[in-house]
Amino acid sequence: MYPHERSLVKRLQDKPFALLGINSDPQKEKLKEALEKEQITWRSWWDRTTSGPIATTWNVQAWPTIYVLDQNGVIRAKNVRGAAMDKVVDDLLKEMQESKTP
Amino acid sequence: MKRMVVGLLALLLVGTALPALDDAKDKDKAKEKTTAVKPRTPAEQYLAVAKDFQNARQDFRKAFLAAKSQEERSKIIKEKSPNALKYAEQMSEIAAKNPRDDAAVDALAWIVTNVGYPPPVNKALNVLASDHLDSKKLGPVCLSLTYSDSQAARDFLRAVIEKNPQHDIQGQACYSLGVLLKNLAERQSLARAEREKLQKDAEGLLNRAAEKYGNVKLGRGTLADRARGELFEMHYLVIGKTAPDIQGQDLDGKQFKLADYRGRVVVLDFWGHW
Repeated sequence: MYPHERSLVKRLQDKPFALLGINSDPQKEKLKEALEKEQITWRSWWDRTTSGPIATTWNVQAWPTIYVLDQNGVIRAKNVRGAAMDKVVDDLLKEMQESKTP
Repeated sequence: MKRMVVGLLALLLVGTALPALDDAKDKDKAKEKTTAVKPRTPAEQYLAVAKDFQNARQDFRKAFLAAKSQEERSKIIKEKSPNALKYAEQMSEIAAKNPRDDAAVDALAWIVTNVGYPPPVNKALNVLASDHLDSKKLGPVCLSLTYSDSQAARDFLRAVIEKNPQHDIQGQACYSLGVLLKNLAERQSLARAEREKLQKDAEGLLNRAAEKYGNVKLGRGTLADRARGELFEMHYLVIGKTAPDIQGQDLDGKQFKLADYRGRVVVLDFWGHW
C-alpha cells in the first residue's frame, strides 16, 4: 500500500487532490515511528481503534477500506487499489478540468 | 525465548502430523488386508489434513519472515508456499468417501474457508447444498462468503436460509447473502438497473436479518447491530451519495474536517499499521 500511495501523492502534488487517512492504531508512539519509516506524509484522523467513532459510523469491517470522493464530496468509487485507484482519480481530475473549461 | 518455544512446538506438531499422513496413504491397503490395524475415523483423517496444512503454512511463514533479501523471499514463496489445492483434494476425498459422516461437513467447510481458488470452493458448496443443508456447522461457511461473486455461493446461502433447521444459522446465511449482494452492487462495471436490483435484494435480506434474526449473536454484537451497520452503509455510503462529513483530530491533535477538502478529489483510506 504505502509505496503506491507515496507515488500517487507525489505524482498529484500540484493537482486538486488529497489523500486522507483514518487511522485505527491504538498506540500513537509506534504509529509515529511508522510515519517516519514509511514516509507517510499525508494527513490522518486518529480514530484510536478499529471500533473508533469514524470507522464505526462508516461501517468499516476490513482494513484498508478505500473511498474515492469527487470535488463535491460525492462517493464515486470504493475499495479500488493500485492501477484501478489511479484510473478513478485521474478520470475525476479530468472530469473536474472539463467542467471548468466549457 | 517465546519464539523458541513456538519453534519447538511447530517441530513437535510436524513430528506428529507426518506419520499421520502416511497412515492416510496406507489406509486403503490396510483395509484390503483386513489386518488388526484400526482404520482411522473420518474425523481423525480430517484433522490430520487440516493440521498438516497448518504446519506447512507455519513453516512457510517462518521461512518467509527469516528471509533477508527480496530474492530469498521470492524463492521461498516459490518453493515453500503451501498449495491449498493439494489439501483441498484430500479434503474433498474424505467428504466423498464418508458422505454420511459429520467429518464430510468439516472437510467441505475447510475447503470453502481456506481455499481462495473458485472451482474447488464452488464444488464444495454444491455438495454442501445438496447433501448437508441440515448441518449445525454451516455458520462460519456462510459468513466466509460475503466477498464471493460466484453463483454457487448465492445458491448455497439461499438454500441454507430456506432449509437449515437452526434459527441462528438461517440468520447468518440471511445476513451473509445480504452483505454479499451489497458488495456485488459496488462493482465498478455494473449497469445502473443491475446495481439497483442487487441493492434492493440486499436491503430486503439485511432488513430481514435485523428483524427476524436480530438477536442472533455475531462476534461482539448481534445480527441486528451488524445488519443495521450494513444498511446505514447502503443508504449513506454508496456510490453516488454525498459522503458524511468527518471531524476529528489528526495525529498531532489538530482538529480538521473532510468538508475542508471540497473542491479536491479525495481518496479516503481507513488504515492501520499492523
